[in-house]
Amino acid sequence: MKIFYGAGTFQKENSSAALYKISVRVVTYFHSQNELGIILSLKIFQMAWITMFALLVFSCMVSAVSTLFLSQDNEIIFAAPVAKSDIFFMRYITTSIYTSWMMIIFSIPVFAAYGTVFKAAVFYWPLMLVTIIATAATATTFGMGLTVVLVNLFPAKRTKDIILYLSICFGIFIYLIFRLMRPEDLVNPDKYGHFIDYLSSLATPAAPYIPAAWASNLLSYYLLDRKIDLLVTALLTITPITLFFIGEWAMERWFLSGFTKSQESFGGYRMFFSRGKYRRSSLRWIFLKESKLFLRDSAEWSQLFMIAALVVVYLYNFKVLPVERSLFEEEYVTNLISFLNIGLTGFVVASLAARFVYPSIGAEGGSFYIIMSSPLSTARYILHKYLFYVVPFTILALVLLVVSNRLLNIEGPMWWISVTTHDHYLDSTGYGTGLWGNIR
Amino acid sequence: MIKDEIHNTMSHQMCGQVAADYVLAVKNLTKKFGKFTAVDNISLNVKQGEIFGFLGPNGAGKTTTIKMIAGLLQPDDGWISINGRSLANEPKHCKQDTGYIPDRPYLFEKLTGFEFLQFIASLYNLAPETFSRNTANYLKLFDLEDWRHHLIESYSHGMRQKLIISSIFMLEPPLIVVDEPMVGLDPKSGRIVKELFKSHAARGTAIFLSTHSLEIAEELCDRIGIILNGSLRTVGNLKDLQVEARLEHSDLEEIFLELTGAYELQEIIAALRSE
Repeated sequence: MKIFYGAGTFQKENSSAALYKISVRVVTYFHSQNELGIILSLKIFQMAWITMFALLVFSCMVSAVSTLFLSQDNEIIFAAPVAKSDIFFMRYITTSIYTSWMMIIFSIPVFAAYGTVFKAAVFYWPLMLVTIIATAATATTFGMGLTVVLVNLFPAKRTKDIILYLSICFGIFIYLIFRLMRPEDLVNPDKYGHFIDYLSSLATPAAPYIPAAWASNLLSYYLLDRKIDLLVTALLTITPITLFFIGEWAMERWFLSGFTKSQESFGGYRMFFSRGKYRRSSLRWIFLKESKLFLRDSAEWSQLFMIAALVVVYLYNFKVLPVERSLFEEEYVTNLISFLNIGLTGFVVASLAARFVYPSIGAEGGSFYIIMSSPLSTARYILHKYLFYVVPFTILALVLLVVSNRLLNIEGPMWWISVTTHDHYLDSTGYGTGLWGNIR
Repeated sequence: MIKDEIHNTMSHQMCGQVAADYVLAVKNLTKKFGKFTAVDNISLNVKQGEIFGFLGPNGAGKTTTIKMIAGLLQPDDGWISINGRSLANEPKHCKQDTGYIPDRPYLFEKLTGFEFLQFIASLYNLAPETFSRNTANYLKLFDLEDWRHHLIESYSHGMRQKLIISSIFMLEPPLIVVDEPMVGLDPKSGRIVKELFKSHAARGTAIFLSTHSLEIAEELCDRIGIILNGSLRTVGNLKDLQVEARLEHSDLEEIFLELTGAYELQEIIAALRSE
């Protein structure tokens, strides 16, 4: 146990050191550009703060719905003579720690890199730490309070779904923007000028009402002039405390009605008429069950957005590959990439199978006794599941291969080789279901 | 390996011998969890049309035994035969003949009640005409008709229990294994379930019923087995148990307390009454 704990700590330290080194290199690169360098690096500084703040608010809201309204111990705690303000305080502490510890640990090296590159005075370091903690506290108190209010408008499960969609969309947005900005052009001197123009034309909002912008302004001001803006410091200190008391008040005012709503079922009053008559076919009904459970559980299908973004970026990489700058003939390079892409696609499909297909074996949870006590053998049941998943995964593999081949202008034998060898994706999905293990 | 094969062959032969007489036959059944023996060398039989009550204090080994009969747990020793077939050698046939009703109704939350019944019917390869006839009947009987197209996640505990009971009765299996059938049921549904057990038993279904309710056991069961610390303490009808406990004119509660050795209970009751 101690060995694992030690290994985990060592890994975190290593990641933080690597992040610090990368950040120092990136910030030094921007900072060293004449005229625009300092403005650009501080603009990125502000974007980093706003991103961190937004991610913290979303993640805190998702956790707060669970800790405040959906926890299994709620019935015991809420039935006990404990004041709502005490419950809010208790849940606030745990939710804040759960949601912000990682963000704090990984943001410290990034913001520390600014201190190193800008050769900040000694006071920058404690100021940076206090600012990070104050901003995280502001984000979590805001998230908690907003959750208490939102659950009054929708049942908790639906609120959680809405926040989850928003978080996923936000994550996808950041991911796509970052990729579509083509960071590889930063190391391409021919395109550097365009990139600088692009970045400087980005009208980053001044955002005077966002606490993350206060944090960014406070530290930027200190980095440039070595002075502390007392008004912003006061705002950063007072805001989380004020928001905490507002959250406590909201808890007193709206918690009970929100908790009542949280016990309503998502589809409680909806009727789902199944079309088609009952027919004797366990295969058909396992297919139907899997698809219905998947489509009716938004936590499952909302992840498809993330997969769509991954697929788009995967294919976009082929579009922007600088094959024309290669030392070898273009046709030779594209054919080689197409060949390697067979393995890469297999890797993508296997990863997705590990995420979706492998957990599907244990998805029945407590209901697995239904399958175990039925005359359907476990091997056959897993085979049915495998058949259910193999079709969409094969289609996905084919789409990845055909589109990437099209983007690389691949024709002839290599096209056929890459498309016809897709049967090993059946293996990938099979490994995901554990089918081969079972058959062997 | 060879030992297992010999054991299986012997089990198969023994199963065949009792096939003609009993729907469920259990012989020398043992289950250990580490060093703890949950079920210790239990043997019992249930014949066609019989309701067999399985009683015992908490943690005596009732649910473990039931899970082994339903094919959810593998015994460490002994064998189980259903309709003359060994559960170890022919699990598919045995499970086809057994309907299992658990005490905690875990179901597929995102399916509707009706979809759940269709799913169960497909697993047991139920004929469409039997499905149509039985589902309409049981959904009406348990007041679930209006809820059949709603998601199970919106059902109460009792509704889930009624759905799961319907799903098993709908299959018309020769053997029904029930763990605590009345948990969460309202009095009306409880009454219906009792009548269903009686009528199915009258039509030849064997019912193996585990319960804590001595009233139900007394009312329904033809024979009763009392399990204590993993071992079968006694088996017989109410008269046999009265003789065994030397309490000729007592009810099942007195007999149960006597046979399970709850002597200290008398002192506790006396102490509580004196307060």
